[in-house]
Amino acid sequence: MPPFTQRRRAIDQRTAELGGKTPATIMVACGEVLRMKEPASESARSEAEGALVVLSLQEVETSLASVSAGATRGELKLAMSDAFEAAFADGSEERALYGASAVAGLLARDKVASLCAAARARLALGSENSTQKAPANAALAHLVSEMTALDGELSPQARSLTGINRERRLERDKLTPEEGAIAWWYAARSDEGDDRLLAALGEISPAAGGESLTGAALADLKASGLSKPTRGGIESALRRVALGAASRGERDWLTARVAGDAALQTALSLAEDASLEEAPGD
Amino acid sequence: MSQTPALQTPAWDTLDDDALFAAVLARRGAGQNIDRPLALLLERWRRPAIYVIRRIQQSYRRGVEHDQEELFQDAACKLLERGLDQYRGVTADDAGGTRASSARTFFLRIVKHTAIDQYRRHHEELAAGAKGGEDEPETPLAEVQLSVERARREAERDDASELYWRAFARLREEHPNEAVAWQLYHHEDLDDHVAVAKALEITVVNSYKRISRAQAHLRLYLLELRDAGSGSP
Repeated sequence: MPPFTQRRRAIDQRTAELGGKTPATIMVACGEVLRMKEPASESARSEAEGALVVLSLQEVETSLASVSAGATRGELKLAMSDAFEAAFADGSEERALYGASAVAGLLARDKVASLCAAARARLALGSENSTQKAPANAALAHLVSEMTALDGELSPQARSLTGINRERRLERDKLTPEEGAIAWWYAARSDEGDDRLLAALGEISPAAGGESLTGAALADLKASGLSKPTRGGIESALRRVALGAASRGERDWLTARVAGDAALQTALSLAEDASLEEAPGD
Repeated sequence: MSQTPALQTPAWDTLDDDALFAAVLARRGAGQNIDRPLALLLERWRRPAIYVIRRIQQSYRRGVEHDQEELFQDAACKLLERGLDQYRGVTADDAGGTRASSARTFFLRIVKHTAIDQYRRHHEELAAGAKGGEDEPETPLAEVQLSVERARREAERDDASELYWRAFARLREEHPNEAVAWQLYHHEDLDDHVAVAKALEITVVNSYKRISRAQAHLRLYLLELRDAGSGSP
């Protein structure tokens, strides 16, 4: 077995890449190893555990508490935007720039997953009693709860990430199946058949787009037909204005459409008349 | 086993409108009979509903008292068939957000659009007749079939329109440049990239790009709205 200092070298290197040696970066580096399907060496897991066990519970708690769910959300939203832009990029250079930026955004969420994995491992390894571990456990539960809410909000938008599926697959395939199932930011809609989904939705290259789409992407394509406003939509829009359900855009469209038609203008004016809803009751 | 208050059967007439309506929604959700509380609510709302119908009749200068009862019944049917599922207790506002609205207001809005629909359609039929439309009168059965088919189409179109406009409201908020280009091309019928480019003082290539991206965004939003509606991930 190599000496301890040598075994720690890989983790130290990753810690340096993450911005320098702090309890939080050590936890992220170790968490990444623990979540990997095939760590760099057989001893990597024990190296990670060795690095974690020397962290104090206070350091673990502080590291967990230092995560900003709002900042992580911002990073993920930016990653979604950049991944979308990658799908519509002009040329490979622009695509690479957007792709790299999007991957960096996804990494922000992935780091939190690694931090949580490391905290769980540290709490399982330590010899402290449950009272001593309680504050770190509470910090972990709080962060997990925040990430669950964040994932609930943003994971339904995973289709936006399909523009960088090549990069996502590389990261997805490093994870254990259990971690891959959790890491929607890498895994959801990341198969090859989804790679051209955004292009197909935007109809930027219909000739090549249709052939490579999978069942899920094809189903999306079929289910996302837009009911663009037409003259036939006037009745529907009037009903929605009367019900108070029309957005400003819809009302603007309707107002322009009924101009010059006295009967429709009367109908719109009545539909908008909120005083009717305050009809006397008795 | 204890029931939630809304599922119990209290003295219905002690509840205010919103509490009674909440009880109707809860009992319907639980598959229980809603006849009594719904009938009580409709009885409370009858007078204001008739007032709304009269005001609309006056605007169109037509309609008789018999129509009022018929329109009230139509509105009650719409509330039962679709409104109970649509009621969210909120109204869209100009800022793209929502504000609270009462169950009574919601029903009176259904009454309002039912009456507007009726008289606007009648007006259009008269106008078409005056222009020489001489279709054969429908038999009662055919009329019923037409009415059912029309209601189904209206419901489908309303659902599709609602999703479209919600998606477009989000596009305006998140990608205003794409939304403006889309609006010019599709809502204001420019239907031409050269015209859009000229209106926005951008290149024609940029117009193509904005419209493509707008379409992809809108379709993504639509899929997310459908997922949320169906509970799919």
